[in-house]
Amino acid sequence: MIRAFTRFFKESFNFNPAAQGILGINGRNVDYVLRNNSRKYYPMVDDKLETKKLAAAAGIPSPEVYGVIERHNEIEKLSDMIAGKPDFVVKPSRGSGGGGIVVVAEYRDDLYYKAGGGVIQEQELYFHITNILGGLYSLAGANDSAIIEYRVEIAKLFENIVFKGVPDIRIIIYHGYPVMAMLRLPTRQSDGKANLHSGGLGAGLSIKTGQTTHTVKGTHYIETHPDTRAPLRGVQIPDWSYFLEAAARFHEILPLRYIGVDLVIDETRGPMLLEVNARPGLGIQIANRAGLIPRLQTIEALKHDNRSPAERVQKAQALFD
Amino acid sequence: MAGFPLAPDQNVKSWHVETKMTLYGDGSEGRVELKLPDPGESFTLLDEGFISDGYGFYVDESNGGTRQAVWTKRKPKEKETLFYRAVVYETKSPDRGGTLDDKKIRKKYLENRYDPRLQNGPSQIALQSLHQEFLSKSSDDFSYATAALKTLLNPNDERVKLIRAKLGHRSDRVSAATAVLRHGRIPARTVNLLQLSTGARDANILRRTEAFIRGNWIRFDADKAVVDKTFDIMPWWIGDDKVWRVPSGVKEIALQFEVKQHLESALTEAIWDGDGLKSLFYTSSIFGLPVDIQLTLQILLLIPLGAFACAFFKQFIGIPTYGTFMPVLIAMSFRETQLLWGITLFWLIIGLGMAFRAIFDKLQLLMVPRLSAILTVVVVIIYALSLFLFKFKIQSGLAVSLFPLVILTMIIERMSVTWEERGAKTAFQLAFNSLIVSCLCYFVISNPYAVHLTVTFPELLIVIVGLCLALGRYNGFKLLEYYRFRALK
Repeated sequence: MIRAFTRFFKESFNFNPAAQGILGINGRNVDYVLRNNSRKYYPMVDDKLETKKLAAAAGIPSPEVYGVIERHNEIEKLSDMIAGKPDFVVKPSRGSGGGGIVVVAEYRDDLYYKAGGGVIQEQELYFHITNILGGLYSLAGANDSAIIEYRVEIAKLFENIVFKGVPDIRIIIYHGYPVMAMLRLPTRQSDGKANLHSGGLGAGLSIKTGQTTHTVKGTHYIETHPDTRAPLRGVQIPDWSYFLEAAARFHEILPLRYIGVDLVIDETRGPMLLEVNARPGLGIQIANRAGLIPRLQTIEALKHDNRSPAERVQKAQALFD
Repeated sequence: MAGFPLAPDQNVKSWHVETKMTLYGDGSEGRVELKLPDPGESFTLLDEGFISDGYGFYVDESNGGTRQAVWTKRKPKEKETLFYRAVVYETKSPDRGGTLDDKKIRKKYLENRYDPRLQNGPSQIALQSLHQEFLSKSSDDFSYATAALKTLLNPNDERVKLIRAKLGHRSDRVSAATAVLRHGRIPARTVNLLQLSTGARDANILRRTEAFIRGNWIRFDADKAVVDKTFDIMPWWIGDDKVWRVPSGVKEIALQFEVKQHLESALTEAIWDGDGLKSLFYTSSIFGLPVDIQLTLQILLLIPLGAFACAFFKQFIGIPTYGTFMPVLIAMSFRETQLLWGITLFWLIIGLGMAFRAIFDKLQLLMVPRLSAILTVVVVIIYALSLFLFKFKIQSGLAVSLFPLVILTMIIERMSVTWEERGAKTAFQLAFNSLIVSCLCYFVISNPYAVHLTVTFPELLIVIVGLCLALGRYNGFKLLEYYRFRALK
């Protein structure tokens, strides 16, 4: 029955993604996530506070936590937490897909200026935190806590490319080897968020060189940023192998074997870890114009080789473009 | 199993009829009488059964060919339930015209045409006066009957009042119409009919007057003074008396008639074969249960089918919806409301609910109390809609209450959040997708073959489990991924 369906799909679209090694959601879940990622370790990546501890253990900095609000009666402590900080970010600890994140660029009296534009009053911000605590943005709708943390300062490198928001780098790590990477760029349309489904751009990154290749917006390719007209091809990520190594180091401390690691570049503090995803999205294949399956299969053959993170990065850079 | 047929066959109609009598005793000796169906030549009574629950029970056949079930008990309990069940099937007899013997009918119905209760002076005068009036207004039996029924509708006519009073407090307009027509030398009788609409949980006994005019029995609705055109009915009992009577010991009685169209004749045969082994299978299958439980179980058995359809749409097609199993529950309620009504009501409830959610949002409420408030609003909306639709005699009115409340509340909440975060377009797109999947689920679970097979052969659920397991290991592409990855073509 299943074969018949696959054949029907193939013929009616005159397109066979499987032949190009493209991984679909069902394939990702059945063949990679369920097989390699044991559910008992999910809390390590679903909770951003836990992920920050992991990052520290791996020697990777992550945005400094100004404070955590766990209960409603703690909301008013917000002003103490942000005292002396020019800006900050409010994040649900167990959020997904960038939901519930508020980036405050500036605040005065009881007005908070959001980085994406727009002003909210203190009461509205408190209400937003209330919703976070109630679990509106958390994965299972369970109670959550709100993290108040450092706002990443956009690197000079990206200032001329994006109009607002901070680009991030997503690297897929399979058994400790980087297999595919992309640079996610926010747009005016995505409201400063870097997620592809909210209208952000995905630029494929060569594992070998750390340069951007193709850039996808939605389902079609573009050459220049829609807001700034900056060319998107050939943007070089500085110190690329450091990023790959940082991501690869999670293999030693996190028992999940198929993960997506999200990193950012801060202008003054350098590379930082944002989050780790146990079910990384598949749009990265479109951005790289390549399927994941052949690369994942190459790694399958190497996975018991006992290399150090640096050696795994070297090996991957030699294998993948 | 047990020779049950594989396909739903609509050639011969047969019905399960169940009368459920709920009694509230007053402590004294109780007696309940129920006229048993005498469906005449167009229906055949295939089998019947009684559940007497400690009552003394017998069938009284002393009254010339008609049968009456009598239950008695010295000390009835506070609340008791008695059941009468029968299986009837429609006998095909399209040309009944020739079989009616005019003379015999006239003799039977006009020999004793004067109702003994109307044999006194004032009633005679009233009847005579009415008769003269109808004669002057009519040219034949039919127009006589119509004129008579129209006059009987007039609540201020003193003659009508008198006759109805004399007929006794239990009589209704129908018995009065029968008496008046007979007095006017038209053979007439009161019939008690059971409505046989499929799946009716609360079927009705209709009382009608039949008059024998130009060689045919013509049925009149005395409450509207028109020829009655209700179809799908079965004559239960012919006679002035009501179908049930509670002479003593009972404060209150609630009668519920349930009718379920039987799957088909072949199934009925399989069940009523009289084969011991077969009836063992039968009694352990769904058909051995009371009809209301059967209807509930039927819904229960269809849920896995709907859930499988949802899983199929998710893994093979990949349409994003609000909530994974929400479409099954919406589809279940569509079964009760009918599709178009269901869709209209869905949007109405979601729309109104979202308007209220927008108001609550301004109040900056905590999440769980806010959800409870929305849930309450949804209940109020459904309550109001039910009243409104019922008032305007839209049949599906009461079925609205079967919409899954919590699911609707969650859709309202998630749709509002999606609207805020990802725009109205995405929010509506998801709601529309959810509705599409619900409709597809509805088509699956309302398909007569699917319903027949799952209800008759519940063991097919094992097959559904197998299909779910196979689906759970499907690692191929979803239909929508061909679209998503088309840039890589």
